Amino acid sequence: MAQSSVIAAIEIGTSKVVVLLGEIFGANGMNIIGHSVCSSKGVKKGIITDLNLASDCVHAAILSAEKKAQVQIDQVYLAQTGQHLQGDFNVGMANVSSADGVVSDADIELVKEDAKRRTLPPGRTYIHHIQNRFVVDGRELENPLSHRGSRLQVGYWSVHGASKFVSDNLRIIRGIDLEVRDLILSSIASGVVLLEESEKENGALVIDIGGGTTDYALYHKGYIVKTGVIPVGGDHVTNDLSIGLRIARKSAEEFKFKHGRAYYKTSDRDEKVWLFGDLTIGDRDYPLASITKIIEARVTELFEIIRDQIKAANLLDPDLIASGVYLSGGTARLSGISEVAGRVLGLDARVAECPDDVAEELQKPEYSTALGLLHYALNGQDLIVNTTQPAGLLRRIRRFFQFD
Amino acid sequence: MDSTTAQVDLALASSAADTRIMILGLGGAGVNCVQNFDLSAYGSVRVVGLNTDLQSLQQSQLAETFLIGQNATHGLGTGGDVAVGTQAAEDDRERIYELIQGQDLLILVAGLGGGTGSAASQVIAHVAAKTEATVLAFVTQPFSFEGPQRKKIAKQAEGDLRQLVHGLFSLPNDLLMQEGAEGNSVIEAFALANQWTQQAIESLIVLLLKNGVINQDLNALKAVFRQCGGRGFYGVGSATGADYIQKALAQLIQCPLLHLNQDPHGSDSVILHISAGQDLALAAVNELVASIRRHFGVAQAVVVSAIFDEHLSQSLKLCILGKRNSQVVTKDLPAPPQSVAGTQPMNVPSAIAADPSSQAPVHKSKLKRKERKVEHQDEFQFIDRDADRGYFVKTDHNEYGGEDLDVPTFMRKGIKIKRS
Repeated sequence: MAQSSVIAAIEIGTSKVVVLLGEIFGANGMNIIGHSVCSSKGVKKGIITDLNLASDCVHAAILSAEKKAQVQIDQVYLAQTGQHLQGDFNVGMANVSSADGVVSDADIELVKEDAKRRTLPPGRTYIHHIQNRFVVDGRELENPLSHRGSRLQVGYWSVHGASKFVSDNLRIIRGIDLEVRDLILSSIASGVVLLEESEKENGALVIDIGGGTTDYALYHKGYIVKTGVIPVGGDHVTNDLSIGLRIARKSAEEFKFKHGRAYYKTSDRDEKVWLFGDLTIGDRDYPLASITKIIEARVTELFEIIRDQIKAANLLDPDLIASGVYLSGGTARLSGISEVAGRVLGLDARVAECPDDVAEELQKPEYSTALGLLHYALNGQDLIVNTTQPAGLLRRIRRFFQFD
Repeated sequence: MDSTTAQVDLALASSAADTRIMILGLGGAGVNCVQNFDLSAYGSVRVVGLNTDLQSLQQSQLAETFLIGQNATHGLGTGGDVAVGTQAAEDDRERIYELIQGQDLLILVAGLGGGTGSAASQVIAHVAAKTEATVLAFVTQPFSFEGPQRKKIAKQAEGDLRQLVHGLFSLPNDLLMQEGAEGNSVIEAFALANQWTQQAIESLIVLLLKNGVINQDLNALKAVFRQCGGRGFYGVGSATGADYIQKALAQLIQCPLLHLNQDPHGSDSVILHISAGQDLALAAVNELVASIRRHFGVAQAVVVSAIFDEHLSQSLKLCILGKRNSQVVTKDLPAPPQSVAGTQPMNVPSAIAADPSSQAPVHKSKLKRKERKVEHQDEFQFIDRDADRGYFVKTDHNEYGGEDLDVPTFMRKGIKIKRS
């Protein structure tokens, strides 16, 4: 880790840009010394649709955070989301080279390279290579070094994205003369801060429901075995309400959190809610049932998509996800959402709680990704997965940062 | 029939058990088509062959036949003469009325281009307007090689008949040329036409009479075919074995019947009939409906009926029926036959009755409003296609499993939302 002291965690979300500044002290201590949030512009469904607009608001957020904290940022850790992100599980294989069948460092390097050598189609770039457990002749091992066997295997969950969208993000940060030190998948960042080691070990599913995207990361036995991005988020709930009730987006957004619930109850049928509630002209009432039905349809579908994706990969085993579902992101504030998640996924579900050592104002689910980025920056890659392999766990394609 | 009448009809809902359905095969082609119907399972369905040609009726395997125009043709065919056909039907107007009265649904099946099918269908539609029955007509247009004369008669007959029935489904026989394999015999080609018609009619009957998981009754049908006029469309698809859901859906979407002039896109509502093995999951039904809604851009409703046969598995038959009303908005829109029948004596010759100019609108103001309404809906559907996506209108389409996730889920799943 570099000696620089001020780290910025930046999340360019669909609804807002979050900048958190952390100052590293000592070996592994960090103070959060500043933060700023501003509404996003030019970002939809996690993708930058207007580079100039997006740049302006990201730069404003960065400057505002620097000003508040009276510091200069040295490094930037940037969260990455968007539907263009995809993952593959690749398994590398190698025969143990030595005559006595003892696994050597060289064998381990070889098997890792074998797992990561799959080339991507043009226009796509690797963002993460997340290592899973080694297997020596069918035995699962944290570290195969010095174990005996003939055949060594290792799996990697490799995440890649569209080069164009990834470079758009980097370009924005570069525009204010800062270097992006690392790109981290939003769901992984959230998992870093929201999950205890034991929860990852027991298996957990982190679902971060943002404004325009929903990011999830699935942990089995302490390892990330799958991540995913679904281009549906809180904005869709708002949009559905706005179209369904024919009300303005702003009113729909208010309805969502003030009266909304993620599931429909029969008692909603007779209940009415007021648009403004202040008896002004244009105020009118709407059936609560309509609001909850619209939200239920959307939220249920979202979790069904996640369920189907995990199921399709043969990973939806309740015994391997014993810790259940942890929800975060702005939409996690929606009343009743954990019940729906639990019902659809068939797992225990709750809204994730931030660690207590974080200032109260940063404990909202909206900040978990940015907090995760800071944790990640502080603790290096150890926190990503529980492994004895500190280096080479995550790898980026370096050329991305050298496009000038 | 205006909307208030439709509501009264809804109030007078009759149970499925005593929904009376009559299928009338008109003329040689019509009798031929209906005689293969095996509807013994449905007690209240009467299949009747109606013709001027005694021999054709005698040779048919139909239990119930109805000879018309004995004076005009002496039990022979019309020789393709529309005037003879009209005369034959006119002569027996009273008898026809007695035959068809008391039916809830009257399905006319006719091959157009000849004398009986082309002419009698219009007279019968007129007579039927006097009854409460919903009238649907399945007609075939002659092959082009049958000559321009027959083609012309058929076109004229179809145009006139369309204004008189609640739903007209037209199948151009020319389509059979493209659909059938190279070496297909004429008999095979006609069999295919009959098969298509039969499947649609059978779906209708099953929908109305058989107790399924999702039941629909006559009122659902009436809601779709409320007004006279408009271009009906139907399409069928079926598959068995592996991937049967996708295959059946693909077959339905590609069904050539849906790619004729009567483009189903943007219709107000369609009826979707699903008959499947008992292993079809509810989620799959949901998906089917969503795909169909999406594919055909149905603005208002997909009326679903579903039957599950416990003896079948991995088998799916789909049939959609609907009507596109925008075509109704023409300058010379005649009055609906209900009002015509109510104001005209029974014995007006059909040629005159079918002439739009003789049907001076009785309820002119109402008709105007109707026209506007249809236009307005069309406009709404026009913007609907992308307006569904609202805020996301300028972003890439969010395809997932054949659906655009940016379109509100409740719309795709057909969840009804009340706004007040």
